[in-house]
Amino acid sequence: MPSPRKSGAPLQMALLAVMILAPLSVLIAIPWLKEQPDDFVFLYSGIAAAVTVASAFANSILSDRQLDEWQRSNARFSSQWGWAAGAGIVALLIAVPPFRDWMVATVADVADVADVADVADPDQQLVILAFTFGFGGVVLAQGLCTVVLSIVWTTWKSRPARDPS
Amino acid sequence: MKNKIRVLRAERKWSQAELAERVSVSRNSINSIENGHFEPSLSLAFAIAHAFESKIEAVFEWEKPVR
Repeated sequence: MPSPRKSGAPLQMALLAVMILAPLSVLIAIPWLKEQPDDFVFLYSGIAAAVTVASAFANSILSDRQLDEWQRSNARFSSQWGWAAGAGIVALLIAVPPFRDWMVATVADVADVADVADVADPDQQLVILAFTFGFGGVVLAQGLCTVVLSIVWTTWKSRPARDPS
Repeated sequence: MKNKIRVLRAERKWSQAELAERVSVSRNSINSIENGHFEPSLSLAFAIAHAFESKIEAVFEWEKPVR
């Protein structure tokens, strides 16, 4: 039978709020976190990341329950290709000098490191932030590509009939 | 797979949204199926036929895929 269309809107909105607020709290707290011990910073950001991932996971399960087979096909297509495209785009962007310079400057700025060219003795904070930003960038690009491909898929499947009967 | 959803809907003066409501799917699903851009599962095809109080073969006609 077609999927029943259950309503879990209030819970989903609450989970969405948590998904936004948890990482936002880390971003807002960056100036304060810079003054805290590293262990506390890792613990705080780790908890925020775990809460974000858990709420996103729960939200995706609730959303999936409400999808019909057309929407599931859309989700399968757009996520499958969106993830690959998003990761590929970030890899290509890293090869573009202006983007690379901007990325290095941003990470150095957040890490409060004056000299980012010291390859022999890299700042641990800088390396961790670079990895974090890189991972975040890939996830963001994958999300954007998935949304774009979902719109493309919807438009393509909603085109007029080839042979109207 | 050909189908007669548009004709059967017109006979009953149903909108795509109304048929979608009757078979518990989105209007986009009905639109894509009706226009031949999405093939429904067997259970959804039966549900659509049931909504029209017709047999499945009266609504859908299988076509051999062209390779």
